[in-house]
Amino acid sequence: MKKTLLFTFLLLLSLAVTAQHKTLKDVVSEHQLDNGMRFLLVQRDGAPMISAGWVAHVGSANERPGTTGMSHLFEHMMFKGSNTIGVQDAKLDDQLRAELDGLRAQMFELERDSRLKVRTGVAESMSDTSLQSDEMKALESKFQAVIEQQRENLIKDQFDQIYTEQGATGMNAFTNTDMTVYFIRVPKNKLELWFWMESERLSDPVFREFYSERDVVYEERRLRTESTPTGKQNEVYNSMYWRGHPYGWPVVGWPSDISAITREQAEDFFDIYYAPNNLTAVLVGDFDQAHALKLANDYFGRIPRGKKAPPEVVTLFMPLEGGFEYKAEVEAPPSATLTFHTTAYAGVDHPALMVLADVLNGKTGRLHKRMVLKDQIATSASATADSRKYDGVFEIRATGKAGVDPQQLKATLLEEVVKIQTDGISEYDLEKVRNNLTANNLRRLEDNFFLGIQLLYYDGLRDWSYMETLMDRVKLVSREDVQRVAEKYLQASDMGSKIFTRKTGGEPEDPALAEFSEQQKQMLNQLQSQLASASTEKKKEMLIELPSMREASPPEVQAVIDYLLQQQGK
Amino acid sequence: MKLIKFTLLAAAILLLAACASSPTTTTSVANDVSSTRNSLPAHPEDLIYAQHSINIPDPAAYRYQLDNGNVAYIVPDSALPLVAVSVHSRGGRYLLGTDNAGLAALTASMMRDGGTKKLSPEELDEKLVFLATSVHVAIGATSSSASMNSLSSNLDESLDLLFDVIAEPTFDEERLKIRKSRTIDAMKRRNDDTSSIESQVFNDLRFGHSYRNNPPTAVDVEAVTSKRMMGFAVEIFSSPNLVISVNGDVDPKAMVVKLNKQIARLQKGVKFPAIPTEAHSAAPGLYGVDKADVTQTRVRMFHPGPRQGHPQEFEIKVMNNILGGGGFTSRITKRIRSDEGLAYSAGSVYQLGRYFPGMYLVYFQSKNPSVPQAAKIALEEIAKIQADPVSEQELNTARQAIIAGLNERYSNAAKKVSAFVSDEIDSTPKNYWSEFENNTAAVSIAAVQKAARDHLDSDKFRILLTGKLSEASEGDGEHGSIESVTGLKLQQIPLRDPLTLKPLPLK
Repeated sequence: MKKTLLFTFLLLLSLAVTAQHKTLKDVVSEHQLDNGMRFLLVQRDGAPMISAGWVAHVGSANERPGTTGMSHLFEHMMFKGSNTIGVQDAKLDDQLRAELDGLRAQMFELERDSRLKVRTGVAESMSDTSLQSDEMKALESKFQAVIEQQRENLIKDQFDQIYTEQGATGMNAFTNTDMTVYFIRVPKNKLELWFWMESERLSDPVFREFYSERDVVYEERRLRTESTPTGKQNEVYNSMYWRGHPYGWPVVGWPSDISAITREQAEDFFDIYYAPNNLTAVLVGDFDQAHALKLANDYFGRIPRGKKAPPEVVTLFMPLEGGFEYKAEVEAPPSATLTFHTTAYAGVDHPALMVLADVLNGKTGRLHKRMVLKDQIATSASATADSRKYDGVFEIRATGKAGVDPQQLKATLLEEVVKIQTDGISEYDLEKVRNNLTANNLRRLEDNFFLGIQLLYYDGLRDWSYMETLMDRVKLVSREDVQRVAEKYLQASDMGSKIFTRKTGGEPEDPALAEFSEQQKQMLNQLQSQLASASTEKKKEMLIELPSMREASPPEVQAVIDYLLQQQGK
Repeated sequence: MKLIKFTLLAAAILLLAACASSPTTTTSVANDVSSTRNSLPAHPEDLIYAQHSINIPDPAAYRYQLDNGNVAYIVPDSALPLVAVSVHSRGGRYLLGTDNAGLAALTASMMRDGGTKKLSPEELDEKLVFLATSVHVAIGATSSSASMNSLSSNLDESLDLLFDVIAEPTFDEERLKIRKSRTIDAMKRRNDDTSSIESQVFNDLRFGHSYRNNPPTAVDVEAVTSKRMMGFAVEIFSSPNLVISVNGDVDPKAMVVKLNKQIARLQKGVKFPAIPTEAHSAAPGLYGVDKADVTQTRVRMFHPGPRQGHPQEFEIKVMNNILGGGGFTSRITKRIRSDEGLAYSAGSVYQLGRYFPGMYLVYFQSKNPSVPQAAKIALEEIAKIQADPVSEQELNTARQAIIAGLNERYSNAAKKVSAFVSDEIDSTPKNYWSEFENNTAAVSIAAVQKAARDHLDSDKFRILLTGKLSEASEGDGEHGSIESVTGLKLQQIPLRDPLTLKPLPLK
C-alpha cells in the first residue's frame, strides 16, 4: 500500500467523520441534581423506545473478605420491590422479615460451631450431614414456615410485571469488579414510568426473599464456574494473580461468604453505595430534554444524599516478585495465558497498550499469522489491554491444537512480544490499527441501546468522557510508544502464566495416533517437548535435521517423525 | 440477572468511541426546574401517558426491483458514515440432504478466508483489515448470507471485495488445510462441557439424522474438496434466489445502480427446490447423558407443535408468555427460580415451525439433586394452565409484552431492513404485522386455556438430562426421583466419539 493512498484514505475518513457527523460530546448533555446524582442525556429523534439505565459506582472491588459477592447479590435484590411494589400488606411483610432475620441470626450462631468443625477437620464441609443438629433442623423448618407465610403476602415479581405490562423490554443488570449497571427499554411515551420505578427502588427498597435469592446466586455460580470446563481453574488463577488485591475474589463471591451475608450488612451497603451521589443515570432516545430533567428532579431529587461518602479502595497491587506459573489439567484443549501488570483505565500508557493489543490481534495480527497460519500450533490467539477502574493487566493467550505442548504456545507468545520489543512496529501496522479503532468506534454508536450501556460502563470506570478522550489519545500514539510500552510492561520475569493441559484420558485420540505403540507414543512426546522448549533457531535446525534422521531410522521411528513433521505443517 | 465477565464486555467496549475532545459542561438541574415532589403519583397505575401508536413501516417504500429477478431493500440512514450490505439466499444445507456433512460450514468460512481470483488470501485479509471493512459468510439450514460492513467513504471498494468473495472465491489449498485442521480440533471439544453435549443430543432427539442435524465426522471434513465447495458456493449465491439488504449512509438510487452492476457477476442459476418438511423426532421418553464431574444438570423437555399461520398462533404465543416465555413475570420462571431458588435460568419457548413442525420447550439448569423437584414444578404448571383460567392481569401483561416486540422490530435502520428481508424470504402474509397488534389484543382468557389444552401435552415430552445422572435422577430425597416425577424410565444415551461420532461405551 502506497503512502499517498494511505494518506488520502485517512484524510477522507477524518473529513467524513468531522464534517457531516456529530461527535459524542455534541450529543451527550450532562446534568447533576442537588443530591449529587448525575444524568447523561442523549436525544435521538425517531426511536420508538428509550434506552434507560443507571450505574451504581460499586462492584466486588468494594467488598472485603467475609462479604464477597455482596454487590452481585444486591443486583439480584434490587428487583424485589418496595413497600408499595411486590407486597400486599407491607406491615406484615416487615414483621415477617424481622422474624426471618432473628431465626437466621440463631442459625448463624449454630454455624459458628459447624465452621470450627470444618476448620479443625472434624467435618468435611458446611453441608456435611454430620453437622445437621436437631436444633438446626428445628430452626430450618421454622424458617421455612415463615418463608411460606411471607410468600402468601407477596405479589411475586411485580416490579417486572408492571414494566412488562406497559410494553417495556429487556430489563436486566450486570455486576463486575467496578460497577453495577441496571438497564431497560421503555416506550417513548412512558418515560415517566421509568422515573417512577427506578426512584422507587432507590428510595424505598425492601430486600425481601433475601435468603431464597442466595440459592439463585449459588445456581448462577454452578452454571458459570463449577460446571464449565475451566471455570474453577480460571477463578484460582485470577486469585493467585491478584493476591490480596480486591480483584482477587470472584464477582459472584466465595460460597462461604454468600451464605453468611446478613440483611443488616446489606442495608448498610445500600446506604453507602446506592446513595444518589454514587449513581449516574443515562437516557438515550426520543424525549424532550427539559421534561426529562423536570422528571429527574421530581423523582430522584427527593432521595437524600448519602450520610457517609463511599470509602476509598486503598489496597494497591503487590508486585509478583519473579512471577509464577499456574498449571492445571482441564477438560479443554491445551492453552497458555500470560498476564502482565499495567495500569488502571485511561492510565498514562493505556492508549499505546490498546494499539499494541490490536497489532497482535485479528486475522492479520501477529499472533494469528504466526501461530494459526504459519506454525499451525494454535486454533486461536489473542491479546487484551484489560484496564479497569483500580488497576489493569495486559493479557496474551493462545489455544493449542490437540497434542501441542502449552509450553510451546507460551514460548511462541513470548517470542512475538520480544519481536515488538526489539524491532518495534511499522507505520503500516500503526495506520491499520488506527483505521480499525476509528471505524469500530463509529459502529459502537449505531445502536441506541448499546450507546446507553457504554455510557454507563465508561462512567462506571470513572467518567464517561474518557470514551472520547481516550480515543483522541489513541490517535497520537506513535510507533515508538508501542515499542516502549511493550518493553516497559511485558516483562517475562514478572508475569503470571496459566498453563492448561487436557486431562489425561480426556483427549480424544487422533486416529493416526491410535496405531502407535506405547513406545512410539513416548518417543513422540519426547520429541514434541524438545521442540516446544527449543528456541526458534534451535527448532529450525531440528526440523531441518528430522528428514535426514528419518532416512536413517527404522520404519516405526519413521512413522513418528512423519507424524511430527505433519503436525509442524511441513 | 447477568453477571458479565469483565473482560468480555471490556473487549467489546474498548473499540468504542467518537472523535473530538473538550469535556461537556455540567449544568445543575435543581435551580431551573420547579419541584413538585409532593404531587408524585402514589402508584404507577396512576401515571397518565401520551398516546403512542406503533408505527409499522411499509416495506414497499424501501423495496427495489433489481435485474435478474432479485429484490433489494434499502433503508438509508446518514447518522453515521457507515454502510451495511447483505446478500441473502434462500439456499442452505437442505440442498445437500444428509450428504456432504461439513461442506456448508467449510464453504462459508473458506469463502472469506480462501482468497479470490484477484487477491491471495493474505492480500484479501490485509486489504479488508486496512479498510476496516468486515466480510462474513454464513450458510444455514434453510437460508444463507454474505455480509459486508464498511465506512461509506470506501463503499465502492468494499462492495467489490464482497462480490469478489461471493462470485470469485478460490479456496486456497494451504488455507483449506489449516481450516480443516482447526475444524477437526474444534470437534475434539464436543464432549468438554454439558452445554455443548446437551445441544448435540437435543438435536439428535429432535431432528434425527437430517439436513437440520448432520454433524460431520473427521473423515467427512477431510473429504471436502475445493471443487465441491466452489460448486456449492456458486449454487447458493446464484441470482434468482437472492434478496439484498442495505442500510446506512447511502443514496438508494445510486445504490441500486451499484448493486445491479455487482449481481451481473453472479451465476444465473435455477430456483431452488422446496424445503423438505418431514420430521424425525425421537419417541417421547426420558433420556439422560452422563457427565459425572459437574454440580449442575441441564434439562430440556420438549414436544412437537404446530406451524406458523396456525389459526391459534396468537393464543399460543400469549399462553407461552404466561407459562414460561415472559421472563420473571411468567409462571415457570417464578416458581423454579424466584420461589424455590432451584435455577438461575428457567422458562419455556413455543416455537412455531416455518417449514417443519414447531416445538414447545421447557428448559432449566439446577443443582443435581434438585432436578426432579424442578421438573415436577414445570409439569404442575403445565397441568395448571390447562385446568384453570389465567388471570386478567396475566393475560394483559402477556399481550402487552408481545405487542412491545413490534417497537423493537423496527427500532433502527439495521433492524428495519432485516425485518423486511425475513418477511420477503418467508413470504409473510402482507397484513401480518399491521394486524399483529389487533390479533394479539384479541386473545381471550378462554382462548389461552384452549391453546394450552390443544397444544401442550405432558405425555408427549422428550425429557433430556445432561449432567451427573446418578444424583440428578435420584433427587433430594423429598421430592421424588426423576422417574417417579415423570412416570418414565430413564434411558441413558451414550456420548459419541467426537471424531467418528460412534457411540462410546456407557460407564
